[in-house]
Parts: sequence; structure tokens; C-alpha cells
Amino acid sequence: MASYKCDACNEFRDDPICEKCGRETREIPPLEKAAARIARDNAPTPVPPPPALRVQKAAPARSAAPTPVVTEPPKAKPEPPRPPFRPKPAAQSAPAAPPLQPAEPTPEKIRGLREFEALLDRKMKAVVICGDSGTGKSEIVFGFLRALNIHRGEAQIMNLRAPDRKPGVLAGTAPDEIWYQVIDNKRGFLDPSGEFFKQLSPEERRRLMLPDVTEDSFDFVKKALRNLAGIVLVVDLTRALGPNDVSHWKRQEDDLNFVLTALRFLRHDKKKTRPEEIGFSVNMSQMVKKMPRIDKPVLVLFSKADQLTQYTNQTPFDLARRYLPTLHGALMTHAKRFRYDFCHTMIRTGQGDSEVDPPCGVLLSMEWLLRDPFRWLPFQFSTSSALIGGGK
Amino acid sequence: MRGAQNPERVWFIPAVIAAAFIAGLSGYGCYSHAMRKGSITSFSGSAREELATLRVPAGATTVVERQWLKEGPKPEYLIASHVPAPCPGVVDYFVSPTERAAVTEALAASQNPDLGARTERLETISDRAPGNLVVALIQGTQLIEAGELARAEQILKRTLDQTKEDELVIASAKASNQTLDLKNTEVSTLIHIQHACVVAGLLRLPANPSCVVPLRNVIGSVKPLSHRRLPGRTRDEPVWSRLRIPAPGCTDADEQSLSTYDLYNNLVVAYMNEKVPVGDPWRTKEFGRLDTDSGRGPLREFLKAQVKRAPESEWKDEKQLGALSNVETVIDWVHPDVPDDARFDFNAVQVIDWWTKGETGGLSELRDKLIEQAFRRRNVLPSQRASFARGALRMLATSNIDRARIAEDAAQVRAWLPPEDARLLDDLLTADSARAGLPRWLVAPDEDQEPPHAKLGPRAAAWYTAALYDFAAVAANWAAPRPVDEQRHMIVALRRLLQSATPPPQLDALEKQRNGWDRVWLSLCATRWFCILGGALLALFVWLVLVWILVHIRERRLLRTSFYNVEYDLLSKGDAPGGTR
Repeated sequence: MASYKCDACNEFRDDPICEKCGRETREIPPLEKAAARIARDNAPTPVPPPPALRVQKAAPARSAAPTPVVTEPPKAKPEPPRPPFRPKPAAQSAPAAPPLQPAEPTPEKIRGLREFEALLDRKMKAVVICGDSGTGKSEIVFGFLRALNIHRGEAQIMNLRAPDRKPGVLAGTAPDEIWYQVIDNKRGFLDPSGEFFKQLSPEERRRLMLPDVTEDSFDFVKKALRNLAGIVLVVDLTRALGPNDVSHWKRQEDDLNFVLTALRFLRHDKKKTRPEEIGFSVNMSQMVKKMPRIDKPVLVLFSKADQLTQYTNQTPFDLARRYLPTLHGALMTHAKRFRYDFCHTMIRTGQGDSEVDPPCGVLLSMEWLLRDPFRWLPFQFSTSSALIGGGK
Repeated sequence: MRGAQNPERVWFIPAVIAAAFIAGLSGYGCYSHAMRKGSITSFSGSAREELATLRVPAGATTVVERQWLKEGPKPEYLIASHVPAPCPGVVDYFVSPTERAAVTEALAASQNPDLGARTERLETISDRAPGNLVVALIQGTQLIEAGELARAEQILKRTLDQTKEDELVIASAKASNQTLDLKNTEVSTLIHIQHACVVAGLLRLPANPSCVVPLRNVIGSVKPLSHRRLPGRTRDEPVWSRLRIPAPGCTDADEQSLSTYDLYNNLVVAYMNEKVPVGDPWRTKEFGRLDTDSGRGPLREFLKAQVKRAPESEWKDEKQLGALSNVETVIDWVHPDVPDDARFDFNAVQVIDWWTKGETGGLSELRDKLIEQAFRRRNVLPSQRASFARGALRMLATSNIDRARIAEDAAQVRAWLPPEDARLLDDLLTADSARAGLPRWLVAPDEDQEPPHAKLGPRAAAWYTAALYDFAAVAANWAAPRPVDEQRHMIVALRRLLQSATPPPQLDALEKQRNGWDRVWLSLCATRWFCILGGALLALFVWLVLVWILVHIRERRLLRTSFYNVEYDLLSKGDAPGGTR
């Protein structure tokens, strides 16, 4: 089993230097290594678009559209250089291999966390970006900076320590690393690697027969939750799991449901009444309803919208309510104020993805998240959920 | 650089501004309602009519009006300096041919227009008839007229020392069954010569009070004579209390004749100038009468109190006490009226003021009467008019007289004043009319007319503040027996009128009828800032409610808004900068 991976070539290597492109590779964490082994055993299957979605009406013709219209949603997506995480039945995997316990990255081991926490000590507030690997979290952050510069004339230097996968395109955030981007003197994005969220995924842990998560699994975001300015959930709708799934985006929904629950719990649980006999997830699921809902806005961004033209002709709210009921329910349960929107920061061309300026759908959504001049208004309904009858 | 904008901004920002406008209107409405509700104009019609007819006393305004008076010399005491000359008929009084001849010559010499020759001739005649009182009177009068006061005093004093007639007259006057009268030539001559001596002594500087004691003694005889004559005189003469003493040889008195008030006046002046010896036995005689006389009026009580208190200060102010006693004597004659002599009244007010030190001491009504009478009579010598007018002006400013009653008399006095003081007199009269018109203007202000105090010009502001204090006092008294609602209304209205000024005791008493919390609430309601705060809070509340509604409408609309499509449309139109790289 290869111990290194070249992110540029998206291939596994045995040596720290990629024999193909000559760049430095990165060491694969145990979890990813296990996943890769499973993926290799289960050959990836192309995912057809869900039947229910195929009958959706096509996006309205846009004569001057800055992005190419793609009507074949997930099929046309050449994204997955990353092996898909095909679940393996637990009954089959249980006798085959002992449960894997990936080493939880401690704060000392999480690259960039110390510096970000030092920023939080200077009264900065964090906007936490959550989402699976490859959903485009970092591109959204970078896209927002570009949009802010182009539309509003507010320039900011990029703090993301992302290497270029190719000119104009950011490579993925390395595992065990968080990126951050300063927005202004008071707020900054926290952009953790998708691997952190993958480790939290209940389905992933179930598939890998991993034990329950611990509080240490949230070290990368714990301090940010105490200094929270908002939460961005990035959902990649171009990914679909399979034709037999009840929801094509079920796994992302489940993951984000768990993440939202955990964020709510960790933001408000200050008493640390967590007996050792009760696992973190169990304790959280039992206690979370007693806690206030997340008092900061939650923005759900459907990324790569340039490939979702068949959906962008409807409101993102209706889309979520209809096709992402788990995620919608999670938001209604855990968030006071939320909204959905599409965005794209890159377009797909014949030569692959390339950055688009200005990005679309990032600016106003982020401004909604960051700039609410009436957030001080007393007795506000937990608008998004209460106004539509949720949050009970 | 505009870029993509939130589509809800189109209506939301104008709506927030409109909400602020509505909130501002509601806040202003609340403020103006609160101000109107707590004003004195919002009383019921009948209550306002009653308030409009209230008479505002001159209390705090008097203090302000006093401040208008320039810091200048205190008013002088006016001396009755006129000494009437004997009539030719006085010759018949003398039996001795020598004395008759001397008097005739003296009378003739006094008609000589040459002052030098006249005094020289009178000197010669006087040397020939050293004991003749009439000759001495004529010579002394001429010397006073010539300004030779020391010589006049010397001659008059010497003549008085040589005669025993004064003692005989005094003894006769005090006898119960005598027929002496002020018209008696002997009495008249003696009074005139004493008067002339006092005038010479008072006018001379440095003063020599050598004649004052004899005058005091003569007055001791005039007093019972006056007592006897008063009832008859009051029936016959309009100038009822002014007992005139015909000059020697004159059959009857006229306007130029000496009067009892002149004698008392000069005695009072002499006391106040501290030119009279006092102490026992005079003290016992002078103040002993207080226990035996049945005196009337407030001045008698005041005098008694001062005499009782005098031993504590070892009779330090005994001379002034003597002046007060003589003022009281004259005033007691005519109580409840006041002496019909401007000079005496003028000096009497000064004596009262000296004793009361600006406080009324229960004598304000008497004092006002004296001042009013001084203005009405104005019977002072031309040389004393300026001094009298300045002093009377000061007295008027410190009195509670209804100045409208003496407006015509004040106009006459105004002519004797320098221009600056004349303007002050005008302001005093204007202030009085403004005080009378203030209640009506307060309860029903007419915007077309200027406020009653506007004519006071730069003095108006301070005066108006004081007038409000006086009005508050009388209005609080008016409200005290009325229903609770009107009392509370009045407290707020008066507090608002007075603003930060100290309330009068009457208003304090009215407030003390309310419990503690009510008092605090009323005092808060009375302040403009509290009303502004209330209006501002209401405006803020309305604005918050409206904005709260707007925010929720916006939020609900935003839930179903696709920012992606907004930005997409903008990019499609090519309005945004940048482009695909």
C-alpha cells in the first residue's frame, strides 16, 4: 500500500517525491489510506444522474451566460480524480479487518491552527467553512475575495496557503491542515481540510468500523466555535451516490446534519458534562435539543453551479426543501437563521477547470452572512426557521 | 463601482427611512401632546378665567426691580428749611414803644433789596433790642437766606438763651385748662424762632445741634396743642392733618406757613443725623408714653418691639429709635391715614427702611401708603425736587403700590428726574402693568400680540422669570383647595413655567400634598427633557417595531431569493467588471 499521494497528479506514490511530476508528495493519513484500500477493492462505478432529477426542466436559455450551460449534471463532471467513497457493508468488512482507529490530529499537529487561534485571541471572529473534500471550499473563499475586490473595490491579500494545482486553480487543502483567510480586521474564514469532516462522517466511520468520534475530533474548530461569526456549508450537488439511494446527496446531507449538530453542541456546551460512559455522539444527540440553536447565520452554498443549470432556474430554497430534506430539516432544527444559494467560482472548459472572474453567487451570499446591519435587533424570530414553521 | 446588489435593498432602505420618518412623527406627536397637556393653557375654560383674574403680588419682581436701581448714594433726608417771615401785624403785639419801634425797623429793613445793607441794618437793630424775639427771628431768617448759617444759629441761640418765654409756653401748653393755641403770637414766635435755629443748625456743616433740644421741648408743647386742634381742623380743611402755624402777626395760615409736620420732620432728620443728645431722662419720657398711650397701628407695635429689644444692644441705636418714635407719633395722629406731607412721608419711609433693613416687618402696607402719599403731594421745595424724585423712585421700586393709580403723579415726578432715571420710572410703571396682565397672557397667549413684559427690553427676561415665580405662588394658592387632578395639573404647569428656578413655598406646599412617587413623577413630567425623552423613546420603539417587521419581511423574501441568479443576470448584461480569464 502506497504511503504517499501526489495531489498534483492525484496518484499514490511510495516515495516522497512524485516520479511523474517531480513534486513533493504528502503522507497519507491512516483514514485516507484505509479508504483508498477499500476503494481499490471496490472499483468506482460511474454514477448516473438521478431519474427524478432528469425530468427537471432545463435551465432558461441565457444568451449572454458567462459560463457554459451544462445539462448533464453529475455525469458530465470529470471531477472525481478522488476515489469515491463507496460504502462497504459492515457485515462484510467486519470479519475481514479489525476496526481502524485513525490517529486523531491534535491541535499541535494541525498545521495552521495555532496561528489561526492566535488571530482569534485578537478578538477576531471566525466564519467556519464546512464541506467534504473537493467541494470547492477554498475556491469559494478565494472567489469571495476576488468578488469583493471586483464588485466592491475592497482588496485583500490572500492568506490561503494553497499551492496551485495549475495556474489559477487551487489545489486541495492538505489533510491535518487548516487554511484561513482574513476578511477584515474583525473576521476571517476558517477553511479546514475536507479530511477533517470526512473523519467525522458517521457513514464513513460506520463503513470503516471506526469507534465513536471523540471531542478531540473537533479540535480544529473548537476555538473557532467560541468566536463564531457564521457557518458556511458547502454542498457539491454534482456528486451523486447511486441510483438506489433515496437521496442522491444523502451522504453529504447526513454528514452536514452531524456537523451541524456537533457545532451546535460544541458552541453551547460549556459545562463539559460528558460522562466517560456515554459516547460523544450519544451524549450530543441526547443533550443538543436542550441547547440554544446556532445563533449565527448559516449559509448553504451549492457549489459548481455552472454545472447545475437544470436546477438554478428554481430557487435554492425550493431545491433544498424538495431534494435535500435531511439537510433542510437539520437547518430548521439547529440554525436560527439560514439561507441557501448557488455559486460557482470556476468554469469547466475543454482544458479543465479554470477560475472565473468575477465569480457568481459568492458575493451577495457572503455579504448576507457577514453584513447584517440589524443583527442587534431584539426579539428577532429565528427568522429562517420560525418564519417557515421550523425549529420545533 | 456598484457591482451586484442585494435586490431587497431597493425597497428595504427606503422603507427603513420611511419608518424613521413615521417614528419621528409619532415621537414628536407624543412630545407635543405631553407638552400641551401639562401646560397652563390646557386648563378648562372656567379655571382659566379664574386664573386670568388672579392678582400677581410684587414679590420676586420687586427684587429684580430693585436691581435696576443704580448703585448710588442713599436718598437724603429732606429738611423743612423754609422759615416764614413775621407779618407786619406783629408790631401790635408789643406794648413797649421801644420794642415796637425795633420790630417796625426790622420789618422795614427786611424789605431792603440790598442783602448786605439789609443784614448790616438788622445787626444794628438787634444790638439795640437784644431780647426781642421777633427782631431775632427776622435777623436769623435773613441770615439763613444769606447763607450765614453759623451767625444765624449764634444769634438765634443767644436770643433763646436770654428768654424764659419758651419755658412759660411749654408749661402753659401742658396745663389742662389753658387757652393757648398754635395761632397765639407768643407760641408762634417761639416755634418759628426755634424752627429757624434748627434749620440753621441742620443746614450748617459741620452741624451744631444746639437748637434741637429746645425744639424738642417746644414740640413737647405743640403735641398737646395739636391733639386739641386736630378734631376741629379735620372737619374744616381738606388738608386735614397738616396743622399750619401762622407766622407771628399773621391772622391766618396759608400754604407757605410753617406746619407741625415741618417741626416733626426736622426733629426726625436731626435724630437720624445723630445731632440730638439722648439717654435718660429723655429716654424715660419719650418711650414711657408707649405704656400709657393707646396707640394704634402696626408702627406702634413695631416701635414697642424695638424699644423692648434696645437694652440688649445697650441702646446703641437710640437716636434712630427717637426718630422712629416721632414718626410713629405723627402717623398715630392720623391713623389709618398717613400724613399729608410729602417731605415727612419721604423721611418716614427712610426711617422705616433703616429699621426694617429692607424687610417689610409687617409695615409694607403703611410704607406703601406713605410712598403713594409722597407721590401725590410732592410738596417739596424746588431745590429738593431732584433729591426727592430720585429717592421716591427707589421707594417706588421697592414697594407693592399699584403703580397705575399714581401714574399721573409719577409723570409729574418724572420731570424732576434725569433721563436715565426717567426711563427707569417708565420701566417700573410698565412692569406694573405687565404684572397685572401676566396671568391672562399666560392662560390665553395671543400670538399676534407681544408679551406684556416685552416693553421692558433688555430687562424683560429677568423680570419675567421673577414674575413667573410670583405667579406660581398665587396660582399654587389658587389650586390648593381644588380637585386632585387640577392640583397635579397645576404642579406640572407651574414647574414647567418655572423650569429650573426654585419654586415658591406655596408650590412646595402644594406638592407636599402628593405622595413621594407622585411628586417624583410630576416633577419628571414637568421637565422638557423628560417629554423629549418620552417622545424619543416612543419614536425609537415605533421605529424598532417597524424595522423589526421590515427585517422579517426582508428575511422571508430573501429565503426565496437566488443571489446566484441576481449576480448571473448582472454578469450576463456585462455590467460587472472582470471576465473569464
